[in-house]
Amino acid sequence: MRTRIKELRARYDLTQEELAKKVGVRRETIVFLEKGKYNPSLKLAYDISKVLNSKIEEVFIFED
Amino acid sequence: MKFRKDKDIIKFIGISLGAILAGIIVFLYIKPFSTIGFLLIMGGLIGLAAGLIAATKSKEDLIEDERSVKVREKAGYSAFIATLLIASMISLLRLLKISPSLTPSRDVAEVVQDIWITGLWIFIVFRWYYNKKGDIE
Repeated sequence: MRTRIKELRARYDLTQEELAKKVGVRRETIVFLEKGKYNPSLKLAYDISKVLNSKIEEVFIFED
Repeated sequence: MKFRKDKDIIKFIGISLGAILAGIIVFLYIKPFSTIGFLLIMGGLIGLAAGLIAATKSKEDLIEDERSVKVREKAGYSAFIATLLIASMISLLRLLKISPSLTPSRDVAEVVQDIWITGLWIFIVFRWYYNKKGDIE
């Protein structure tokens, strides 16, 4: 899985810390998500997508 | 390196230092309870180290999020399996009497066996409970 969190975060001028605070997780979690090293729960994926004004499938991309 | 000096950190470090001090007194002067003194010193040292590490991090870094919960659960499960494996090996050594120097005494073997049985039963009960509960909070 890869994510577009970094790109979308930059679009909305959000730091990792700010995004983490908005969705109620540690900054570390955002770091791991951006690196594709952590699979978020559906709730966290939904919350992040909402903050970034995007659909879940636009933020989290699953490759076969 | 910046250290946070809020009330919680100061309280935690204070309690840890108190435990170390109490442990030293018990260890040195109350001989029948020297084991308790040793445990207090060790607990205090671990607490002090944890407190100092926590003091270097921001409050946001210490919040419980789903990843830290998952990491802790994974570590706990691995620790449980490792404990069961070690307990099994110690029990097996005693059963087969492979090496007299490695074979634990009867008391140790009985404690290990109790830990093994208790751990396994608690694991089965918790697995059943969490399976019933689901994980919606």
